Amino acid sequence: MTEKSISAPQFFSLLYLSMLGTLFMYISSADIKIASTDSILRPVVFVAVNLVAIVPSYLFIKMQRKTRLSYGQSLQGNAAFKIVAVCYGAVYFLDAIMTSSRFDLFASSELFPGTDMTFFILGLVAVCGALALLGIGALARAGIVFTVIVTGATIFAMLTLIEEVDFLNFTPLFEFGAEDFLKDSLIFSAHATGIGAVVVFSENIREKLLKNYILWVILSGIVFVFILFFVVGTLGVFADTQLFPTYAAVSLAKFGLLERLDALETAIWILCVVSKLTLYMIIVIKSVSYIFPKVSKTVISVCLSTIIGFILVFISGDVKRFGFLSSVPLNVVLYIIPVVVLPGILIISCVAGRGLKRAKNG
Amino acid sequence: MRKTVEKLLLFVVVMTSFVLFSSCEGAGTELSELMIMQGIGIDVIDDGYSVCVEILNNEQSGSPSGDSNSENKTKIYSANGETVAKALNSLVTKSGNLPLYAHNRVIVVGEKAANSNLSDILDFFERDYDSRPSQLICVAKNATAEEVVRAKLLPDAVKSEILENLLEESYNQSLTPRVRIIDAVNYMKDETTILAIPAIKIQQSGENENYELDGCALVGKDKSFSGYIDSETAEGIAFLNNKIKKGEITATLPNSQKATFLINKGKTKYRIYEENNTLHYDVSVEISCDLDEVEGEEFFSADDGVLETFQTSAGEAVLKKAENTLVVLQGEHLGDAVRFGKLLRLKEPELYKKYKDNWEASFKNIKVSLSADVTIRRIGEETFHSKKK
Repeated sequence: MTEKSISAPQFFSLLYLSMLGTLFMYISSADIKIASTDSILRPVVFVAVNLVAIVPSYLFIKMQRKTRLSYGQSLQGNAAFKIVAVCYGAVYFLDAIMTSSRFDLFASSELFPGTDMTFFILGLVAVCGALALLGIGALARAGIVFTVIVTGATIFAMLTLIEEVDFLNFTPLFEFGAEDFLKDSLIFSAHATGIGAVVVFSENIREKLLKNYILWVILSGIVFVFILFFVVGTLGVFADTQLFPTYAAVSLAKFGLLERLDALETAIWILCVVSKLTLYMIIVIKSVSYIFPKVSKTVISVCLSTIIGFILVFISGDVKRFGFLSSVPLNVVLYIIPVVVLPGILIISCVAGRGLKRAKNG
Repeated sequence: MRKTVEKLLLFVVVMTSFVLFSSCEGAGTELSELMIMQGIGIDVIDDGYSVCVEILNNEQSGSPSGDSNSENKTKIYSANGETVAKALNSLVTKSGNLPLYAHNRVIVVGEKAANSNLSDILDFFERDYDSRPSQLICVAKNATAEEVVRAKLLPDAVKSEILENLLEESYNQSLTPRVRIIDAVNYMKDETTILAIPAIKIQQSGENENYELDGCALVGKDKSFSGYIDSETAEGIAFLNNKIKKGEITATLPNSQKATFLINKGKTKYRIYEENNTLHYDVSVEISCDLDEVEGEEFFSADDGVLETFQTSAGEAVLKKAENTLVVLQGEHLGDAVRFGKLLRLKEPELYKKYKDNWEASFKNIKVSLSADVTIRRIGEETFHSKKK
């Protein structure tokens, strides 16, 4: 695996693509209405939550840069903290399964309905497994190109929908109070599990991390507001009847002779899935490598792809299994562990390590 | 190692493309193996539904040619079933091909079907993978959907295309509302709105038949048919619910001569308030239009007042259209097809909460104050100095 340093914008472009992929394939919980105008404001909460959520990771990275102790070294310094590596690996392994199974659901419902998607999804996992071997450097460089393509295509598709936006499709803000809105917004924000990757790749990221992070969160929020405005404005309550409302909105897009812009869009959205899945697989491979340093990364990647493939095939056969992976508690746990708990443990380990050192010296 | 991986990746991508992206419906399916739907007619029968579809006629398919000859661009099939999906799927036993709904243009609902639960009929189109939410819906007036789909138009006509153009253009000319799957679902889920679906009737024209748009069918809150409004009444809906696109206004001038104006753009603005426990809607329609035809003598350069007169007369014509629609909807049908309830919900949520439970009566009692502001943007190609007499 090539472990080259990457720029902060390159890294955050990957997080942006991950979150955009989540938005495209987002399924809101049953008791919350996506068609409500409140949902356009969800990204505002997303911005607020994730500006706060970076604090533990940032504190650890700051500490790490002072002590010149990398994430890897902090793990290797104390055998007990190999558990942290296991946790990172486990969380992103589950995230990889959730991402690929959601894409399986999307592809088998919208792209190739009625077709057995096993071959396609396994192929995608294999491709991501192979891409993961190229390392974060290659993926991050591709991330910038993907970001330009995906954002450009999405904004273009949405702009073609201007004529279809109907003022009467909106609803009064906070019509039924702010409780549902806050609940849904927090759940939506908790999909940004990729933030935990900041700690894992902090040693690879050049430039000012915090400044670029803030910029990423705010720009992502603006793009999400823009997309959700068109989803609600064009679909209205109909959005609540659709499994993937963003796709349903895009299926209305046409420009001149191009009447099926949704086909083009979905082809481009696959880039989001590829980026997200590859990023998570890189984290898993990296974490497993800390635990078993002698095992080749190629072997780890092949094993990982195979295991994910088997699990996907199992999940794919029954819609109830998708329901488990979409459950809110699981999503929230998978957000809190890498974003709050694990950086917290690493901070404590650093502080305790320093204390021990001082005690020994003193 | 990296180059090998890159080559392997490229190979996988290319092979995946070959296998998965070489046809529009499932791997390896040829176009000739598909029933490419153009229009679907749905009727209610005693034990379920009867569907009648118009599909593209592909002679290379070698499949049974349905009720048509090889010169026709389309074929027609019909089938029955307990559900809409069952009826549509059983068409396979007649054509031997798989149905493809992605290109369907229009859904014709028979009068009897419109009188049953419309949301049950539309469920298939909301849920099916292939079905697009932008398909247009119309009601077969005084006829079954099958009669509309089987109408004897010119032999080489794609009837569904004609229907689609009719519905789209009527909407673009501000004559009738446009009802797609999306709109139907939105309106039916709205607590106060009733759905006005364009009504199509078949007209005899010599040996052939023609389609004619004839007002709208109203589907009430119980999701069943509650009657028709005529074309004149349907025309006012666009002016009342801010859906003015293009179209024309024909006005009677003070000297009893007629003038026609082409609408360039229009907007409807609202002010809603409550007075003496009655809702008041101040509706002002702003239209920019071009003069297209005028009877008699006109001389703009000599008298600026002529344009003012034209604008006033055009405004009066707009008001007449809107008033007529309101009188019918409030008086005869008691139905909010102009979405005043949804507007109230957006603009005055507190008032909406007060009135929504008894909206039918509230809508009937709304005091509407209409005003129109028409601006003539251009006067056509004839010069300002033109004087015919």
